[in-house]
Amino acid sequence: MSAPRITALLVVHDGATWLPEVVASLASQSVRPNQVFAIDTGSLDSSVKLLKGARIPVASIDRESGFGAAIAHGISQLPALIKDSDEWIWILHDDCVLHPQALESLLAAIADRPSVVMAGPKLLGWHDRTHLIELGISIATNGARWTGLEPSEYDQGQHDGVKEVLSVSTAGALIRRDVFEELGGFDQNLELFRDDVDFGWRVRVAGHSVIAVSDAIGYHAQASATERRSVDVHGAFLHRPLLLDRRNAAYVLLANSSAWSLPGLVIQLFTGALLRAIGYLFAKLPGYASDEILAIGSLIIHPAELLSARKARKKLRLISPGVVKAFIPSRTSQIRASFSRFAATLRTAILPDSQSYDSPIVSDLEINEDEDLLAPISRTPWKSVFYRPLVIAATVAAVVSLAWARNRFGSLAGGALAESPASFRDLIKLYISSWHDVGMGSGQSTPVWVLVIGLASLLTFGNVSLFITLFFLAAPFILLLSAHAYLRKFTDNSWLSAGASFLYAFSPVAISSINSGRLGVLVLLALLPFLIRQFHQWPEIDRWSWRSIFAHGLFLWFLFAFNPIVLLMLIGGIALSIVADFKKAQKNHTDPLFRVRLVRRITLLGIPFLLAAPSSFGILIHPSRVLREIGLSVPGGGPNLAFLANPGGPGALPWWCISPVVAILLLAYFSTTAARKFAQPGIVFLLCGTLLSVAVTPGNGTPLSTQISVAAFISIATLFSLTSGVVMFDKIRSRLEQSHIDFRHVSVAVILAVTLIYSATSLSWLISAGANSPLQTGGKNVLPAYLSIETSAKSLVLRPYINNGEQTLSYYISRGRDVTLGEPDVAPTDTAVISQAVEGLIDNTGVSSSKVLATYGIKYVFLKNPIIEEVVQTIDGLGGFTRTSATKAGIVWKVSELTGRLILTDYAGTVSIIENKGITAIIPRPGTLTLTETFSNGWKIYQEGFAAARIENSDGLPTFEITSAGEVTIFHDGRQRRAWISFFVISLITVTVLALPAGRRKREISERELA
Amino acid sequence: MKSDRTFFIALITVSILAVSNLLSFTVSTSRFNQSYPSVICPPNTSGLTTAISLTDPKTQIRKTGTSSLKTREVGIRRYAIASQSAVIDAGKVTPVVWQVRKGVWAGAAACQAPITSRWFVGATADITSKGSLNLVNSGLGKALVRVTVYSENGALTPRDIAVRANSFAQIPLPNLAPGAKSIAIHIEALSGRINGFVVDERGKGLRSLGGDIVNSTDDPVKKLQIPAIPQQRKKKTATAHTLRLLVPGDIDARISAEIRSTDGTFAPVGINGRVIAHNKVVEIPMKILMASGKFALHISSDQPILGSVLSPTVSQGKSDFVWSTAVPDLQEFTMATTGLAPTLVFTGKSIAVKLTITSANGKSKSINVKGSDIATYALSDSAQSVSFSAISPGTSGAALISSKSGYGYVPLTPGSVLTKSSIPDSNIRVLNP
Repeated sequence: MSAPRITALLVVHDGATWLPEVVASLASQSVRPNQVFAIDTGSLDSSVKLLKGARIPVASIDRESGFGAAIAHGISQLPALIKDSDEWIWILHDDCVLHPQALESLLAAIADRPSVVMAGPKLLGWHDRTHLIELGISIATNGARWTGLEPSEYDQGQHDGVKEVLSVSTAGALIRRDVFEELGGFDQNLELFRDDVDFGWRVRVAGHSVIAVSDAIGYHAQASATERRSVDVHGAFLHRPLLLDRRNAAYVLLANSSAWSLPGLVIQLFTGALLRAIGYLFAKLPGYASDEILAIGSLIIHPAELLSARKARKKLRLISPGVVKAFIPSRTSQIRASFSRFAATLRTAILPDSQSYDSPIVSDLEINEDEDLLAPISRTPWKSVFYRPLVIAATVAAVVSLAWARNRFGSLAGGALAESPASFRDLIKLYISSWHDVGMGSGQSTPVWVLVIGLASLLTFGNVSLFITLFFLAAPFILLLSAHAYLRKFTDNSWLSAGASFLYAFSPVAISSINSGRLGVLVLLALLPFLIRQFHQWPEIDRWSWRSIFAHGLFLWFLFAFNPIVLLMLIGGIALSIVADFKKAQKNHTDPLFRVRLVRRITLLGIPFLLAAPSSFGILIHPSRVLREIGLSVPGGGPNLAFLANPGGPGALPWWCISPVVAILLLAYFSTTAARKFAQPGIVFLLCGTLLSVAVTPGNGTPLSTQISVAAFISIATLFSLTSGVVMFDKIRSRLEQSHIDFRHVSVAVILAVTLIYSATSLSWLISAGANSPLQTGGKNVLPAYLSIETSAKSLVLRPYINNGEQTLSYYISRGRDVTLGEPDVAPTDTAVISQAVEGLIDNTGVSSSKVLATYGIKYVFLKNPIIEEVVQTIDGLGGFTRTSATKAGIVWKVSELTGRLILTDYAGTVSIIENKGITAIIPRPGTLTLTETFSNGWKIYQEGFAAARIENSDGLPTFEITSAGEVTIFHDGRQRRAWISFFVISLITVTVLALPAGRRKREISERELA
Repeated sequence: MKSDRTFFIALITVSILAVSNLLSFTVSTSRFNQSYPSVICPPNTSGLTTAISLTDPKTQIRKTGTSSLKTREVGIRRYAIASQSAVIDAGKVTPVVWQVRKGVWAGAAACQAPITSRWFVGATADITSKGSLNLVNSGLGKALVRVTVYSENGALTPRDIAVRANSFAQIPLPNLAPGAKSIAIHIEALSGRINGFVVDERGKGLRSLGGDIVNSTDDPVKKLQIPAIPQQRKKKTATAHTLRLLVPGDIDARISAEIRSTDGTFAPVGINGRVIAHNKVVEIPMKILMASGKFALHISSDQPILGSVLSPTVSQGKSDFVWSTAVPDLQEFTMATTGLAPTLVFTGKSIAVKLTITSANGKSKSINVKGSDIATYALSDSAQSVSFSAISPGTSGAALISSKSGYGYVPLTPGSVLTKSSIPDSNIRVLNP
């Protein structure tokens, strides 16, 4: 058999950068092609000159010609194909260097494979020649170019061999000329990109084979794909390679796939394009985003092109299209690959590779494998992991937590934390709803932290209770790790950073927050170390990039959502900074630096305010709300405890567990300048917290004022204190060894002693009394089961408490269930008339109490155990209440008056209760219908398409005039709420996009990074 | 420089701590309502005459048997009620009821605030019994009372008795424990504003054997004090008192007793070391011969116990009896004594009580009663009220009242104590476990 005739066709387009090496590689082939012919597509650089210098015949065609057209032109310049001759075309790119044995290896591979009509080399990176780019290609159903390789996969010969593939890249592809001409060559509609996959696909369904030969190696610069040169082909709208690539990918899929798979493909292509476009928008690459959409759009508006392509392919198809199925990656493979890529990205982000290759390997010669073999292997005994200070700290934390949290393994409630709802959907519903069935009903906007917790619960498959439990159990470890990530930057001594992190995780404020169920403060404690870094440069805010301003604004909003008091700190901090800036600008408000700083500071304040709307507007009307914590109100411990960096209140460490926070702050203040930098703000926050701790404010869902908790101030003071401590004690040992005994020795000894005493006392307290904290699991429902059956009935729940040794009584209106997470934040405080009626129940003056309660739809009075006998006797004796049960749970009275959610008073004055089914109810006769919910403009009743006239009656309830009998629809109009949510979502997306790092166009990525 | 910094930081810190401590005050958000609950007096049943001693004509009063809770001024200081029970807003004064079946028997009781649980150790339910248990519901809602009767044979099955709103129910004692000679009754208010009164009236055919009101006592205790047992000598023979005991627990009790009188302190015969069977009403006869007209009995037990003493009395030649019941330690309170002229008897190891006696003319005088074991003070007819204060620990007392119709015994315990109740505040916390 005679040797095949090889014609090398080199397509050139502004390739002067790579061409010298390409030409050299052609010349150095161990088996020379019989003929080399170059086709230049209107290069503007010295490409043609270079080719002519190398004595390669060149044909020039139009600059806008596509790759397929260039090859077709090249073939047209060749002598006509001689029948039965073994003639092959070797297609070469001007940015692809072939290994000297490349052609020889390709020929060897096809020699004993008569069915093969297309063979391609293994393509490695141009810059990093160990980077495996391709060994055969395919196309995923979402249009992605599929190589089956990992991103930046290192070539170790792991994929070597001759492999049957769907197609190979045209760079270095060897194609049998007769088949090429028979199939019509490359599709001229695919000017650039994906013409290779399309041709391979057609080859396959024509009954031939395509192989990738790993012994043949090419080094491909991928100049067009990486935007190293402009794409000028006719079909490339706006010279955008991504648009062309996406459009062509869709074209290949839609032109070649079987008809029945087209609907699914169209949907997937659309969805994929849309999602990628959103991703590009977040990366601030609107050009790429539009490319994605335009690519699909440009294809759809030219259906005739697709139809004719499908018709042409049908003619040449000789075998079932199912033959390519084996080469198209399954959806599972695609998903797996996506996860793998995401995990790799995440890993790189979290654990960046410490090894950095300053100079890429550009040649195999630079790889000295012997060196690898000779280098001694560094082995670290696995046991050494356990000697790491952070691991030891975490182990101690785990041991302590195990005893401390012994009453918290299960669904948690108590302190500031209400019970968790059954599903995350309840939290989402609470966030979206315009009306909340809490107490007498509330139309308050649900704060966004409820939505955050709801979405975060997806991590535990929507189980909110599990998420909350895990969060509180893991809180000490989260604080340990977050503090360590921050503090380790200030010292090389890992014992010091781990010790300080441990103190942070078990600081009085952390312990108090966990014990009292303060979710918001825990979130603040966990995120503070990440936020505070940037605030080291707070005075020079002009150095912050705008992206950083938006990112930190977003961060502050998140903290504000969980801790309203953050806004107070922000306002205070910004006001003081503006004054300082003004003084620095010599009281010149036109000073450019002052203005720059002013704008940035106000933006930083405006973002949380804007995102928290409309709750933030409520703060303008009721400024005291900024002092409230989220959830149920838990009082603080007052100024003396606050000064000891202990927020106090239920679940807090006793006063005698004195933490070293204050001692460190005071010592650091007189220590080095570096330590003072952190001690100063720490002292400011501590003293501000102390002063503020005397303030009282009503909590959520109660008019009762309690001493506010300044846990947020103390959290910041604690972190500053520990930071200053780490800075102060860094390398202190060597300094102390070198000096005589002086105040430094004494101060170190004092701090160490205080720390040791604190550790001993606090940890002992934690594992003994600390476990009996307000936040516990296993709390029985407040309402007995029989009151939960009538979900539409309201019950007045009276519950005794012991406060400062005195028995006190509180009440609230229940809707047949206990309060759940988020509800306290929207709960109404009280209704004056109901409060008076309840007062009458206790002081024996409430002869009309039952009537009042009935007016507001309250059907039952429940006195929870431990009951107060005097109260029982009073209610028993008042009349208007009938005892229905007395159990271990408590005593229940039924209000004798007729009541319900809907009370109809007809024109004859007859009162009847109307039962509603969902949002509808049947009204038997005309009259006045009273809805026993607090009046709100949102309440509407529609009858036969018309809104019933509504007034607010003297009891503050919405009353509707029903003019005829029949079905009515009762609902609370949520348009306003939906508008606010839309505003929030738009604002959030905008700020997020502005805060995210901008993506880069491929042309902006340096050659070095590409390597 | 460093000293400036020290001064600055010290000044700021001290100032802030001082200011915040000055501003800080214990925030007591709880509101309280303090009041003396109304007291309820025993109902006047058929054939009886009931007079309530009060101190102020402006005292607010209402009667049961109506649908109203409206009160009116009583107008006089000794109020005779024709029927039903009286509900009195007497404040800190405890009104005393003197009930008489004219020429037959007399009895006294203090009016009391509604109760949750009370014990009556006394009365009989045998053939001679004409007594009754009177349950008063002073509320406007229906009340339910659980009545458990103990007899010499043991505890009977408890009965739940409904009492209509603002009314009273009279249950003859023979109906509660037919044929039982010695009974003790326990009432528990399951719902409603309930008071209970037991009248022990006895007769044989047409012949009256006397009667008395059996005053109620608190829950069982291990140390009983019965301060005033009248001792009326019949010539030179001993008076036959009867000690009635009940151990309502599950274990028998071993008791010891001590009589304290002006004649000395001694142990009655046949009581010390005696084991009292639980859940059975046990009677121990005590034949006492002594010169003094009254004595106190102190009983110690290793189990919580209840007890009272039945003493025969003679008043103007007619036979009567009186039930002296156990009382807790004396508290500060004021008792209305208008028209009663009681003899106050105190007992205790070291007695010290300051009496403030207010007369009809509005004048008050203070008497300090001091002694050991037993001390008595007889109030004059003009005394409208007596207040007890400066009481030494361990002192208890009772009043003995004598009239033409018979003898009466009133334990010195306040009928109504100042009750501090919290005014409920709205707080969603109540719905969180």
